[in-house]
Amino acid sequence: MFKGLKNKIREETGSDVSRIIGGTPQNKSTFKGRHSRQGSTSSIGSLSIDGIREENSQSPDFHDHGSEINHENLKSLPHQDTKLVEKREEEWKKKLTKLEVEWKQKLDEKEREWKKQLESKEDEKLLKDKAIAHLQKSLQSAEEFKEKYCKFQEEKEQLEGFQSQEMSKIKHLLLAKERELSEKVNTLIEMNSQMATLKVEVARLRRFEEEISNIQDEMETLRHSSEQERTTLRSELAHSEENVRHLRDRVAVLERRTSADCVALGAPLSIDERIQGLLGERTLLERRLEEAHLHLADIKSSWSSKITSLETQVERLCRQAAEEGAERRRTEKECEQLQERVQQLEAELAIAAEEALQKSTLAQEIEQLRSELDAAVVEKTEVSVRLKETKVSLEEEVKRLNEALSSQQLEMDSFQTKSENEVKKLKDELLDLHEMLKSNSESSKVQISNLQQELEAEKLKSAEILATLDAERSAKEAAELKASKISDEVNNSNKCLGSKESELLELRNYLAQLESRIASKDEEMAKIQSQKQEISTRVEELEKERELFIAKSNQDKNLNDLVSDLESQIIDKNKSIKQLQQRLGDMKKTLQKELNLYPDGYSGDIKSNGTTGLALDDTSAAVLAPSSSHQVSQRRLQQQATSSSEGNNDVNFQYLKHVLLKFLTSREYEAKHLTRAVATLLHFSPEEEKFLRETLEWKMSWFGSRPNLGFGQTAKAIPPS
Amino acid sequence: MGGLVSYFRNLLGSREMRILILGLDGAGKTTILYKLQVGEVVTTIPTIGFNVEQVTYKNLKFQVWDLGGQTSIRPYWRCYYSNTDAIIYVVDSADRDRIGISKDELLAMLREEELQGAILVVLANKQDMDGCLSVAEVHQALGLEALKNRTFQIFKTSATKGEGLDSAMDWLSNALQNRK
Repeated sequence: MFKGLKNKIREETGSDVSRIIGGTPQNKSTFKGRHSRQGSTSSIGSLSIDGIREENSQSPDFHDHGSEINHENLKSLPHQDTKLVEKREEEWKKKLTKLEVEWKQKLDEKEREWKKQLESKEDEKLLKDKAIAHLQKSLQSAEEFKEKYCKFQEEKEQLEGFQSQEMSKIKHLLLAKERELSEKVNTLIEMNSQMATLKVEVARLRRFEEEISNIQDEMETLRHSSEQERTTLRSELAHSEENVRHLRDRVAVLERRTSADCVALGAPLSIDERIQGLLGERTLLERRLEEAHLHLADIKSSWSSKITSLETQVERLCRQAAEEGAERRRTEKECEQLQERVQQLEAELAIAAEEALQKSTLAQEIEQLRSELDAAVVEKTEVSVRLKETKVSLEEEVKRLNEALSSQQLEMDSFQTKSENEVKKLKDELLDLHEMLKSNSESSKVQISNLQQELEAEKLKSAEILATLDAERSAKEAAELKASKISDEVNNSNKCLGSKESELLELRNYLAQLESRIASKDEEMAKIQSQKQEISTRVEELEKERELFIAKSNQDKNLNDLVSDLESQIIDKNKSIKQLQQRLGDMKKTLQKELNLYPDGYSGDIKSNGTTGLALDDTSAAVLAPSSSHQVSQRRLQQQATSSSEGNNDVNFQYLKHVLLKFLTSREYEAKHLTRAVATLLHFSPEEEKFLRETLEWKMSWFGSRPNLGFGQTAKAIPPS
Repeated sequence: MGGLVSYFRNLLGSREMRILILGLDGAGKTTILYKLQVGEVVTTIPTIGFNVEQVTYKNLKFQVWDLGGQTSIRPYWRCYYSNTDAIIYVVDSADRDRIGISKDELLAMLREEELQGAILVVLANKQDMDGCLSVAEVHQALGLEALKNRTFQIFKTSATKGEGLDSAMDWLSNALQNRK
């Protein structure tokens, strides 16, 4: 016990306890002799400090009392003996003075010792104060650490608040970006819907193309029908010419008949001459008729050639129209290609391809397509100009044909008039002949009347011819009407062309719109790219912030590590403080015990320090190892008894009491287990322990001899009575 | 007369097992002892000295010695080691500060020559307390993994609630019967 305390004190103060207490080296040398003294001192009286003081204070009183007694004896004794008495008094006084001197010396010595001890105690107190100051310093440092820890926690909380704020900002920005992206997606969807509507419009225009092709087919069928009508007209003309020839043949037959009648009637020579003249005139007329026929044939041939040329022109026009249709289809295909390109471009836009090069190439292609479109438009204009020219030429030719027709009609009229004149002349001649015939013969008159009737029939026939001519004229007029219809159709086709042109214009406008849309989309693309750049810059900023954040978090971690280190240090400090407090408590207890024990030492004589030191050694050694000496154990018991007299707080004593009570009250069988504990507690020697065990075994057994217990003073048991 | 009875008991061979309950002060040794004997939780005071009770468990009789665990009387444990069949070492699982002292005391006890044949039961007591060490933590803190040539087992118990004591006593009685 006290060794440990000594060591602790040595650690704290750096000096040995034995030095502080002093006098320990003497103890061991004076150990054996002092035992009896101590026993005597303990037998004198109590062992407390008060006892010592009372003893010290009592002893002079005792001597004073003795002197009073002597004085009383003086009074009672006779005067003779006074001298002896005085001598004795002087001797007593001398003795008293000697005793006083001795006592004074002793008191001085004790005072010195007391002072020394006080000084040593004061030193110890100073050392303790130092230790306490050191502990207070350590406490202060621990408090500082705690404050630092609080600061670190506050900083950590602040950093966490900043982190949360930054996180919320970043989240807000991200939400804004997501909203913008959703808006962009909506615009893209709208563009796609517009694309769909445009596709629907294109499909509708394709239907119009079909209508145009139908109209062209109708044009071609109309041309075919006109050609068929022309061929029918030609056949009718040929038919009329054949009729004219037939009539002439008939006229020639009639003239021969008349001449034959004239011959048959009489007046042969003159009449024959006249008939011959008439025949000659008739031959002339027939020649003229033939000439007129030839002229008509020439006119017809020229007409047919002109018609063929017109037909060729119409065919050419048809070809041109077909070419135009082909060109139109080509342009439409180009338009479709362009639309496809536009779709591709839109798809590329939807994909949001950001390559500006492709865009530029696309723009170039669009420009090329535009130039191609312009070229196609120019070609169209050229074609339209050519159409107009051909139209003008056709109109001119039609006019010419009309003029030729009118001239032919005029010629026909003149020819008719001539023929009428000739007929009139012939009539006049016939009248003359009639008159001549009337004058010549009445029979001839009948014949003449017959002839007149025939002439009337011929007139009727000529009227019929005229009617046929009129019909022909009407047919011609119908042909003209048809030609006009054809021209109207051409006009219609021109109108169609105009409508197509307008459609083309619409398509161009549509293209322009699409281009404008493309431009707007390019702008949007540029905007999106700019936004992208902004976003990328923001992302970079955010990354920077994140890096900062990571760095902060690293700092946080470091701070946390520091905090944890500090915490562990604080815990260690707290532990060390606890340990130091425990040590302090132990030291206080030991100090109190030592203070309590010192009076024991001072109860006997000056050498009592030695006993306390021995007691310290003894208690520390007795706990673990049973003491070898019987006397020491006895003294230990005594000391425990003395300490118990001060109070039952000592756990060891309580333990001893408990074990001894159990040992004494239990049966031998249980008590056997307690022999070791009792021997250890009472510091029995091995012999004593063996004796105790043998005694117990003897008590338990039915047979066997009692162990040897010794005789006389060394006997260990009460001899049986 | 007690001597006679015990003598006859020895002759019949049904020697009752001697078990020590050891552990630091306040670990719950006395509570466990009376929980085993009476089956109830009794109010205890710090044991300065020892308590001896006869406990019957499954027709086996044990003489259970509960030794006080205070620091100053811990050295006297060794006075009771002879003829011990088993040791119940009680650890306060909630006392994290003194688990090291408990480990030192356990190791010092196991080094004793007289206890080389004794069976060891470690009870990680006070498992009902908040913040207590788990069985594995107690096992590790006591350094039981380094224990060789020793029949031992660790149990988590709560003496006040009576949890884990039955399984520990089952194991102990089986181990003691198997050792014969």
